[in-house]
Amino acid sequence: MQTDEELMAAYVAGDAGAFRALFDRYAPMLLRMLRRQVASDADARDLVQLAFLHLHRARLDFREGSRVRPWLVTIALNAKREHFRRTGRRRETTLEPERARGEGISSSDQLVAGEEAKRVRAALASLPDNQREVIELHWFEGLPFAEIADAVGANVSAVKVRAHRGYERLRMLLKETSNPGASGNVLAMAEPGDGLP
Amino acid sequence: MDCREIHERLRNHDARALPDVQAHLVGCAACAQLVADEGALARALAPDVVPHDAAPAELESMLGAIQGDIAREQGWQARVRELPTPIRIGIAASVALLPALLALAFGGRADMGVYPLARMLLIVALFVVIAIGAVALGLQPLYARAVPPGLRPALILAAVWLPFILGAIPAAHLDHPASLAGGGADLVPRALRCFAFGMFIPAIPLTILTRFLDRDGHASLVRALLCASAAGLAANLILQVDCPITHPLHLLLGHATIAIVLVAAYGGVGLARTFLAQR
Repeated sequence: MQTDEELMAAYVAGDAGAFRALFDRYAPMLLRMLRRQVASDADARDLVQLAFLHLHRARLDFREGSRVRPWLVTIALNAKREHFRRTGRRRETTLEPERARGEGISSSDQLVAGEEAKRVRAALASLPDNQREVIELHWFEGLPFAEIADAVGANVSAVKVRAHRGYERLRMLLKETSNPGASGNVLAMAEPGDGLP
Repeated sequence: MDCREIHERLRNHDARALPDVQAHLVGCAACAQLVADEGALARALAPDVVPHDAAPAELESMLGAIQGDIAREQGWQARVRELPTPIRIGIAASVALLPALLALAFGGRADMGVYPLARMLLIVALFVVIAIGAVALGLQPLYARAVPPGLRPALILAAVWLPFILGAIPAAHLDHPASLAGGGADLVPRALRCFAFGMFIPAIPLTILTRFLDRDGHASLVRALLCASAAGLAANLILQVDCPITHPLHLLLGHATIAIVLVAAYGGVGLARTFLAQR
Protein backbone atom coordinates (compact mmCIF):
# COMPACT_ATOMS: atom_id res chain seq x y z
CA MET A 1 0.00 0.00 0.00
CA GLN A 2 1.28 3.46 -0.89
CA THR A 3 2.10 5.80 1.98
CA ASP A 4 0.31 9.13 2.32
CA GLU A 5 3.42 10.92 1.18
CA GLU A 6 3.76 8.71 -1.92
CA LEU A 7 0.12 9.42 -2.73
CA MET A 8 0.66 13.15 -2.30
CA ALA A 9 3.75 13.04 -4.52
CA ALA A 10 1.71 11.15 -7.13
CA TYR A 11 -1.04 13.78 -6.93
CA VAL A 12 1.44 16.61 -7.35
CA ALA A 13 2.71 14.76 -10.42
CA GLY A 14 -0.83 14.74 -11.84
CA ASP A 15 -2.37 11.45 -10.67
CA ALA A 16 -5.98 12.34 -9.81
CA GLY A 17 -6.55 8.86 -8.41
CA ALA A 18 -4.07 9.62 -5.65
CA PHE A 19 -6.28 12.48 -4.49
CA ARG A 20 -9.22 10.12 -4.24
CA ALA A 21 -7.12 7.67 -2.23
CA LEU A 22 -6.14 10.41 0.20
CA PHE A 23 -9.76 11.47 0.45
CA ASP A 24 -10.88 7.91 1.17
CA ARG A 25 -8.20 7.61 3.80
CA TYR A 26 -8.77 10.86 5.68
CA ALA A 27 -12.18 12.36 4.91
CA PRO A 28 -13.99 10.09 7.44
CA MET A 29 -11.56 11.06 10.20
CA LEU A 30 -11.77 14.79 9.44
CA LEU A 31 -15.55 14.66 9.21
CA ARG A 32 -15.78 12.86 12.56
CA MET A 33 -13.40 15.36 14.15
CA LEU A 34 -15.23 18.40 12.80
CA ARG A 35 -18.69 17.04 13.62
CA ARG A 36 -17.75 17.11 17.27
CA GLN A 37 -16.80 20.75 17.08
CA VAL A 38 -18.99 22.75 14.71
CA ALA A 39 -22.63 23.69 14.94
CA SER A 40 -24.04 21.43 12.25
CA ASP A 41 -23.23 18.43 10.10
CA ALA A 42 -23.54 20.62 7.01
CA ASP A 43 -20.84 22.95 8.39
CA ALA A 44 -18.62 19.94 9.12
CA ARG A 45 -19.03 18.65 5.56
CA ASP A 46 -18.28 22.11 4.14
CA LEU A 47 -15.11 22.34 6.22
CA VAL A 48 -13.90 18.91 5.12
CA GLN A 49 -14.47 19.94 1.50
CA LEU A 50 -12.62 23.18 2.16
CA ALA A 51 -9.73 21.28 3.75
CA PHE A 52 -9.31 19.06 0.68
CA LEU A 53 -9.67 22.06 -1.65
CA HIS A 54 -6.84 23.75 0.27
CA LEU A 55 -4.79 20.55 0.07
CA HIS A 56 -5.18 20.81 -3.70
CA ARG A 57 -4.31 24.53 -3.76
CA ALA A 58 -1.26 23.98 -1.56
CA ARG A 59 0.01 20.88 -3.35
CA LEU A 60 2.99 22.70 -4.87
CA ASP A 61 4.12 23.61 -1.34
CA PHE A 62 4.43 19.95 -0.42
CA ARG A 63 8.05 19.03 0.15
CA GLU A 64 9.84 15.76 0.64
CA GLY A 65 9.97 14.99 4.35
CA SER A 66 6.61 16.62 5.08
CA ARG A 67 3.81 14.43 6.40
CA VAL A 68 0.36 14.55 4.87
CA ARG A 69 -1.81 13.69 7.87
CA PRO A 70 -0.66 16.56 10.13
CA TRP A 71 -0.95 18.85 7.08
CA LEU A 72 -4.57 17.89 6.54
CA VAL A 73 -5.45 18.04 10.23
CA THR A 74 -3.85 21.49 10.53
CA ILE A 75 -5.75 22.73 7.47
CA ALA A 76 -9.00 21.41 8.93
CA LEU A 77 -8.35 22.94 12.35
CA ASN A 78 -7.42 26.30 10.85
CA ALA A 79 -10.46 26.22 8.58
CA LYS A 80 -12.60 25.49 11.63
CA ARG A 81 -11.07 28.41 13.58
CA GLU A 82 -11.70 30.70 10.66
CA HIS A 83 -15.26 29.39 10.43
CA PHE A 84 -15.78 30.23 14.12
CA ARG A 85 -14.37 33.71 13.62
CA ARG A 86 -16.67 34.24 10.69
CA THR A 87 -19.87 32.79 12.08
CA GLY A 88 -19.36 32.85 15.84
CA ARG A 89 -21.05 29.44 16.02
CA ARG A 90 -19.76 26.46 17.93
CA ARG A 91 -21.10 22.99 18.60
CA GLU A 92 -24.07 23.31 20.92
CA THR A 93 -23.77 21.23 24.05
CA THR A 94 -27.45 20.41 24.21
CA LEU A 95 -27.71 18.45 21.00
CA GLU A 96 -30.11 15.59 20.79
CA PRO A 97 -28.55 12.27 21.74
CA GLU A 98 -26.80 10.50 18.92
CA ARG A 99 -28.36 7.51 17.24
CA ALA A 100 -29.44 4.60 19.40
CA ARG A 101 -26.59 2.55 20.77
CA GLY A 102 -27.78 -0.75 19.39
CA GLU A 103 -30.23 -3.52 19.61
CA GLY A 104 -31.06 -5.26 22.86
CA ILE A 105 -30.91 -2.06 24.90
CA SER A 106 -34.13 -0.88 26.47
CA SER A 107 -35.45 2.58 25.67
CA SER A 108 -34.86 3.73 29.26
CA ASP A 109 -31.23 2.59 29.03
CA GLN A 110 -30.93 4.44 25.74
CA LEU A 111 -32.31 7.55 27.38
CA VAL A 112 -29.82 7.32 30.24
CA ALA A 113 -26.98 6.67 27.81
CA GLY A 114 -28.10 9.66 25.75
CA GLU A 115 -28.13 11.87 28.83
CA GLU A 116 -24.65 10.70 29.79
CA ALA A 117 -23.36 11.29 26.29
CA LYS A 118 -24.80 14.78 26.45
CA ARG A 119 -23.08 15.40 29.76
CA VAL A 120 -19.74 14.20 28.40
CA ARG A 121 -20.12 16.36 25.30
CA ALA A 122 -20.91 19.35 27.52
CA ALA A 123 -17.78 18.66 29.57
CA LEU A 124 -15.68 18.37 26.42
CA ALA A 125 -17.15 21.58 25.04
CA SER A 126 -16.26 23.45 28.20
CA LEU A 127 -12.54 22.71 27.84
CA PRO A 128 -10.28 25.42 26.45
CA ASP A 129 -9.95 24.95 22.68
CA ASN A 130 -6.27 24.03 22.80
CA GLN A 131 -6.89 21.23 25.33
CA ARG A 132 -9.99 20.00 23.58
CA GLU A 133 -8.27 19.77 20.19
CA VAL A 134 -5.43 17.76 21.65
CA ILE A 135 -7.77 15.37 23.49
CA GLU A 136 -9.88 14.82 20.40
CA LEU A 137 -6.83 13.99 18.30
CA HIS A 138 -5.22 11.86 21.02
CA TRP A 139 -8.16 9.87 22.35
CA PHE A 140 -10.76 9.90 19.60
CA GLU A 141 -8.48 9.81 16.55
CA GLY A 142 -5.55 7.96 18.06
CA LEU A 143 -2.85 10.26 16.70
CA PRO A 144 0.58 10.09 18.36
CA PHE A 145 1.73 13.19 20.24
CA ALA A 146 4.38 13.99 17.63
CA GLU A 147 1.73 14.31 14.90
CA ILE A 148 -0.63 16.20 17.18
CA ALA A 149 2.20 18.64 17.88
CA ASP A 150 2.69 19.14 14.14
CA ALA A 151 -1.03 19.60 13.59
CA VAL A 152 -1.67 22.14 16.34
CA GLY A 153 1.63 23.99 15.91
CA ALA A 154 3.15 23.32 19.30
CA ASN A 155 6.01 21.23 20.59
CA VAL A 156 5.47 17.70 21.87
CA SER A 157 6.00 18.63 25.53
CA ALA A 158 3.41 21.40 25.34
CA VAL A 159 0.93 19.04 23.70
CA LYS A 160 1.46 16.40 26.40
CA VAL A 161 0.85 19.01 29.08
CA ARG A 162 -2.34 20.16 27.32
CA ALA A 163 -3.57 16.57 27.12
CA HIS A 164 -2.80 15.87 30.76
CA ARG A 165 -4.51 19.05 31.93
CA GLY A 166 -7.45 18.47 29.62
CA TYR A 167 -8.04 14.91 30.83
CA GLU A 168 -7.60 16.02 34.42
CA ARG A 169 -10.13 18.80 33.96
CA LEU A 170 -12.55 16.44 32.23
CA ARG A 171 -12.35 14.02 35.16
CA MET A 172 -13.05 16.86 37.57
CA LEU A 173 -15.94 18.20 35.49
CA LEU A 174 -17.53 14.80 35.13
CA LYS A 175 -17.14 14.13 38.84
CA GLU A 176 -18.70 17.48 39.69
CA THR A 177 -21.68 16.92 37.45
CA SER A 178 -22.18 13.26 38.25
CA ASN A 179 -25.14 11.99 40.20
CA PRO A 180 -23.96 9.00 42.21
CA GLY A 181 -27.50 7.64 42.48
CA ALA A 182 -28.08 7.45 38.74
CA SER A 183 -27.71 3.98 37.31
CA GLY A 184 -26.30 5.24 34.02
CA ASN A 185 -23.72 7.52 35.56
CA VAL A 186 -20.56 7.23 33.51
CA LEU A 187 -18.34 7.42 36.52
CA ALA A 188 -20.40 4.91 38.46
CA MET A 189 -20.54 2.29 35.73
CA ALA A 190 -17.26 0.58 36.56
CA GLU A 191 -17.65 -3.14 36.64
CA PRO A 192 -16.14 -4.81 39.71
CA GLY A 193 -13.61 -6.65 37.59
CA ASP A 194 -12.61 -3.61 35.58
CA GLY A 195 -10.49 -1.93 38.14
CA LEU A 196 -6.89 -1.85 39.03
CA PRO A 197 -5.76 -4.70 41.24
CA MET B 1 3.32 -0.05 24.28
CA ASP B 2 2.03 3.29 22.98
CA CYS B 3 -0.96 5.51 23.72
CA ARG B 4 -3.08 3.85 21.05
CA GLU B 5 -2.67 0.41 22.56
CA ILE B 6 -3.52 1.76 26.01
CA HIS B 7 -6.65 3.39 24.56
CA GLU B 8 -7.62 0.13 22.88
CA ARG B 9 -7.40 -1.72 26.18
CA LEU B 10 -9.40 0.97 27.94
CA ARG B 11 -12.08 0.81 25.28
CA ASN B 12 -12.27 -2.91 25.99
CA HIS B 13 -12.81 -2.15 29.69
CA ASP B 14 -9.33 -3.30 30.60
CA ALA B 15 -7.80 -0.77 32.98
CA ARG B 16 -5.48 -3.22 34.71
CA ALA B 17 -2.10 -1.80 35.58
CA LEU B 18 -0.07 -4.54 33.93
CA PRO B 19 3.70 -4.04 33.81
CA ASP B 20 3.72 -2.82 30.19
CA VAL B 21 0.90 -0.38 30.99
CA GLN B 22 2.77 0.86 34.03
CA ALA B 23 5.89 1.37 31.94
CA HIS B 24 3.94 3.57 29.52
CA LEU B 25 2.24 5.55 32.28
CA VAL B 26 5.57 6.52 33.78
CA GLY B 27 6.25 8.70 30.75
CA CYS B 28 2.66 9.62 29.76
CA ALA B 29 0.74 11.72 32.25
CA ALA B 30 -2.16 11.99 29.78
CA CYS B 31 -2.81 8.25 29.67
CA ALA B 32 -2.35 8.13 33.44
CA GLN B 33 -5.42 10.36 33.71
CA LEU B 34 -7.38 7.94 31.54
CA VAL B 35 -6.37 4.95 33.61
CA ALA B 36 -7.02 6.68 36.95
CA ASP B 37 -10.23 5.91 38.86
CA GLU B 38 -10.26 2.43 37.31
CA GLY B 39 -10.52 3.84 33.81
CA ALA B 40 -13.75 5.71 34.49
CA LEU B 41 -12.86 8.67 32.28
CA ALA B 42 -12.00 6.35 29.39
CA ARG B 43 -15.39 4.70 29.69
CA ALA B 44 -17.08 8.10 29.81
CA LEU B 45 -15.31 9.08 26.60
CA ALA B 46 -16.49 5.91 24.86
CA PRO B 47 -16.83 6.32 21.09
CA ASP B 48 -20.60 6.53 21.18
CA VAL B 49 -20.55 9.99 22.77
CA VAL B 50 -19.30 11.32 19.45
CA PRO B 51 -21.06 11.38 16.10
CA HIS B 52 -21.03 8.23 14.04
CA ASP B 53 -18.99 7.76 10.91
CA ALA B 54 -20.18 9.13 7.61
CA ALA B 55 -22.14 6.89 5.27
CA PRO B 56 -20.34 5.91 2.04
CA ALA B 57 -22.95 7.79 -0.02
CA GLU B 58 -22.31 10.94 2.01
CA LEU B 59 -18.56 10.68 1.45
CA GLU B 60 -19.07 10.02 -2.25
CA SER B 61 -21.23 13.12 -2.53
CA MET B 62 -18.59 15.21 -0.74
CA LEU B 63 -15.85 13.87 -3.01
CA GLY B 64 -17.97 14.78 -6.03
CA ALA B 65 -18.39 18.32 -4.71
CA ILE B 66 -14.64 18.68 -4.10
CA GLN B 67 -13.79 17.32 -7.54
CA GLY B 68 -16.24 19.86 -8.97
CA ASP B 69 -14.51 22.65 -7.03
CA ILE B 70 -11.11 21.46 -8.28
CA ALA B 71 -12.35 21.26 -11.86
CA ARG B 72 -13.37 24.92 -11.58
CA GLU B 73 -9.86 25.85 -10.43
CA GLN B 74 -8.87 27.04 -13.89
CA GLY B 75 -7.30 30.14 -15.37
CA TRP B 76 -4.64 32.58 -14.22
CA GLN B 77 -6.23 33.27 -10.84
CA ALA B 78 -6.04 29.60 -9.88
CA ARG B 79 -2.46 29.40 -11.12
CA VAL B 80 -1.46 32.47 -9.10
CA ARG B 81 -2.87 31.22 -5.80
CA GLU B 82 -1.39 27.76 -6.36
CA LEU B 83 2.12 29.16 -6.67
CA PRO B 84 4.47 27.92 -3.94
CA THR B 85 4.16 30.05 -0.82
CA PRO B 86 7.69 31.57 -0.89
CA ILE B 87 6.99 32.78 -4.43
CA ARG B 88 3.60 34.25 -3.51
CA ILE B 89 5.12 36.10 -0.57
CA GLY B 90 8.09 37.16 -2.70
CA ILE B 91 5.81 38.66 -5.37
CA ALA B 92 3.81 40.61 -2.77
CA ALA B 93 6.95 41.79 -1.01
CA SER B 94 8.45 42.95 -4.31
CA VAL B 95 5.36 44.98 -5.13
CA ALA B 96 5.45 46.48 -1.64
CA LEU B 97 9.11 47.48 -1.84
CA LEU B 98 9.72 48.15 -5.53
CA PRO B 99 8.08 51.62 -5.70
CA ALA B 100 10.22 52.83 -2.80
CA LEU B 101 13.36 51.37 -4.39
CA LEU B 102 12.51 53.08 -7.69
CA ALA B 103 11.92 56.37 -5.90
CA LEU B 104 15.34 56.03 -4.27
CA ALA B 105 16.91 55.09 -7.59
CA PHE B 106 15.58 58.34 -9.05
CA GLY B 107 17.10 60.39 -6.27
CA GLY B 108 14.63 60.09 -3.43
CA ARG B 109 13.40 63.01 -1.34
CA ALA B 110 14.89 66.45 -1.97
CA ASP B 111 16.02 66.83 1.64
CA MET B 112 17.80 63.47 1.83
CA GLY B 113 21.13 65.23 2.42
CA VAL B 114 19.94 66.88 5.62
CA TYR B 115 17.52 64.24 6.93
CA PRO B 116 19.04 62.49 9.99
CA LEU B 117 20.37 59.22 8.59
CA ALA B 118 19.77 57.12 11.71
CA ARG B 119 16.14 58.24 11.90
CA MET B 120 15.63 57.51 8.21
CA LEU B 121 17.17 54.03 8.49
CA LEU B 122 15.15 53.19 11.60
CA ILE B 123 11.86 54.28 10.02
CA VAL B 124 12.54 52.45 6.76
CA ALA B 125 13.60 49.29 8.63
CA LEU B 126 10.45 49.35 10.77
CA PHE B 127 8.22 49.88 7.74
CA VAL B 128 9.92 47.10 5.78
CA VAL B 129 9.96 44.56 8.63
CA ILE B 130 6.35 45.13 9.63
CA ALA B 131 5.09 45.23 6.03
CA ILE B 132 6.89 42.00 5.07
CA GLY B 133 5.80 40.33 8.30
CA ALA B 134 2.19 41.35 7.71
CA VAL B 135 2.18 40.18 4.10
CA ALA B 136 3.85 36.88 5.03
CA LEU B 137 1.25 36.16 7.70
CA GLY B 138 -1.54 37.41 5.46
CA LEU B 139 -0.53 34.90 2.77
CA GLN B 140 0.35 32.09 5.18
CA PRO B 141 -1.09 28.77 3.99
CA LEU B 142 -3.64 26.98 6.13
CA TYR B 143 -1.29 24.07 6.77
CA ALA B 144 1.25 26.34 8.44
CA ARG B 145 1.88 26.10 12.15
CA ALA B 146 -0.08 28.52 14.28
CA VAL B 147 1.64 31.76 15.26
CA PRO B 148 1.34 33.24 18.77
CA PRO B 149 -2.25 34.46 19.13
CA GLY B 150 -1.38 38.13 19.61
CA LEU B 151 1.06 38.43 16.72
CA ARG B 152 -1.44 39.16 13.95
CA PRO B 153 -3.35 41.88 15.84
CA ALA B 154 -0.02 43.34 17.01
CA LEU B 155 1.23 43.65 13.42
CA ILE B 156 -2.03 45.26 12.28
CA LEU B 157 -1.95 47.74 15.17
CA ALA B 158 1.72 48.50 14.55
CA ALA B 159 1.05 49.14 10.87
CA VAL B 160 -1.79 51.52 11.70
CA TRP B 161 -0.17 53.36 14.59
CA LEU B 162 3.47 53.60 13.55
CA PRO B 163 2.87 56.28 10.87
CA PHE B 164 0.75 58.24 13.37
CA ILE B 165 3.46 58.07 16.00
CA LEU B 166 6.05 59.22 13.47
CA GLY B 167 3.81 62.12 12.53
CA ALA B 168 3.24 63.08 16.14
CA ILE B 169 6.88 63.28 17.21
CA PRO B 170 8.90 66.47 16.52
CA ALA B 171 9.86 67.11 12.89
CA ALA B 172 13.07 65.42 11.76
CA HIS B 173 14.49 68.76 10.64
CA LEU B 174 13.53 72.17 9.26
CA ASP B 175 16.72 72.72 7.31
CA HIS B 176 15.53 72.39 3.72
CA PRO B 177 13.13 74.71 1.86
CA ALA B 178 11.19 71.75 0.40
CA SER B 179 10.55 70.45 3.90
CA LEU B 180 8.83 73.61 5.06
CA ALA B 181 5.82 73.31 2.77
CA GLY B 182 2.73 71.36 3.74
CA GLY B 183 1.38 73.69 6.42
CA GLY B 184 -1.22 76.46 6.36
CA ALA B 185 -2.98 76.84 3.03
CA ASP B 186 -0.79 74.10 1.56
CA LEU B 187 -1.87 71.54 4.11
CA VAL B 188 -4.92 70.03 2.42
CA PRO B 189 -3.76 70.08 -1.22
CA ARG B 190 -0.35 68.61 -0.45
CA ALA B 191 -1.76 66.09 2.01
CA LEU B 192 -4.32 65.01 -0.59
CA ARG B 193 -1.58 64.64 -3.20
CA CYS B 194 0.51 62.42 -0.94
CA PHE B 195 -2.57 60.45 0.12
CA ALA B 196 -3.57 59.80 -3.50
CA PHE B 197 0.01 59.00 -4.52
CA GLY B 198 0.49 56.49 -1.70
CA MET B 199 -2.94 55.00 -2.15
CA PHE B 200 -2.80 54.55 -5.93
CA ILE B 201 0.86 53.69 -6.46
CA PRO B 202 1.59 50.89 -4.02
CA ALA B 203 -1.38 50.51 -1.65
CA ILE B 204 -4.39 49.65 -3.81
CA PRO B 205 -2.41 47.56 -6.35
CA LEU B 206 -0.83 45.60 -3.48
CA THR B 207 -4.19 45.08 -1.81
CA ILE B 208 -5.68 43.76 -5.05
CA LEU B 209 -2.64 41.59 -5.75
CA THR B 210 -2.67 40.00 -2.29
CA ARG B 211 -6.34 39.16 -2.75
CA PHE B 212 -5.37 37.04 -5.76
CA LEU B 213 -2.30 35.60 -4.03
CA ASP B 214 -4.31 34.64 -0.94
CA ARG B 215 -5.52 31.05 -1.38
CA ASP B 216 -8.68 32.02 0.48
CA GLY B 217 -9.30 35.18 -1.59
CA HIS B 218 -9.32 37.34 1.57
CA ALA B 219 -12.29 35.39 2.94
CA SER B 220 -10.51 35.57 6.29
CA LEU B 221 -10.87 39.02 7.84
CA VAL B 222 -7.60 38.80 9.76
CA ARG B 223 -5.64 37.83 6.65
CA ALA B 224 -7.28 40.62 4.68
CA LEU B 225 -6.45 43.15 7.40
CA LEU B 226 -2.83 41.99 7.48
CA CYS B 227 -2.54 42.51 3.73
CA ALA B 228 -4.25 45.91 3.98
CA SER B 229 -1.84 46.87 6.76
CA ALA B 230 1.11 45.85 4.61
CA ALA B 231 -0.27 47.90 1.73
CA GLY B 232 -0.69 50.93 4.02
CA LEU B 233 2.90 50.62 5.18
CA ALA B 234 4.16 50.18 1.62
CA ALA B 235 2.50 53.53 0.85
CA ASN B 236 4.14 55.13 3.88
CA LEU B 237 7.46 53.64 2.84
CA ILE B 238 7.48 55.26 -0.59
CA LEU B 239 6.29 58.56 0.90
CA GLN B 240 9.02 58.37 3.52
CA VAL B 241 11.74 58.11 0.85
CA ASP B 242 10.09 60.48 -1.65
CA CYS B 243 8.17 63.25 0.13
CA PRO B 244 10.46 65.91 1.63
CA ILE B 245 7.80 67.56 3.82
CA THR B 246 8.45 67.18 7.55
CA HIS B 247 5.45 69.15 8.84
CA PRO B 248 3.71 66.90 11.44
CA LEU B 249 0.19 67.75 10.24
CA HIS B 250 1.13 66.82 6.69
CA LEU B 251 2.52 63.48 7.85
CA LEU B 252 -0.59 62.79 9.90
CA LEU B 253 -3.11 63.77 7.23
CA GLY B 254 -1.35 62.79 4.03
CA HIS B 255 0.68 59.74 5.06
CA ALA B 256 -0.62 58.14 8.23
CA THR B 257 -4.26 58.09 7.13
CA ILE B 258 -3.55 55.69 4.25
CA ALA B 259 -3.09 52.61 6.45
CA ILE B 260 -6.02 53.46 8.65
CA VAL B 261 -8.35 54.07 5.69
CA LEU B 262 -7.39 50.73 4.13
CA VAL B 263 -7.70 48.81 7.38
CA ALA B 264 -10.97 50.54 8.26
CA ALA B 265 -12.40 49.82 4.80
CA TYR B 266 -11.43 46.13 4.94
CA GLY B 267 -12.51 45.88 8.56
CA GLY B 268 -15.89 47.45 7.80
CA VAL B 269 -16.55 45.10 4.90
CA GLY B 270 -15.36 42.10 6.90
CA LEU B 271 -17.44 42.94 9.95
CA ALA B 272 -20.50 43.48 7.77
CA ARG B 273 -19.93 40.05 6.19
CA THR B 274 -19.48 38.46 9.62
CA PHE B 275 -22.64 40.16 10.87
CA LEU B 276 -24.61 38.89 7.90
CA ALA B 277 -23.18 35.38 8.29
CA GLN B 278 -24.14 35.28 11.97
CA ARG B 279 -27.74 36.36 11.36
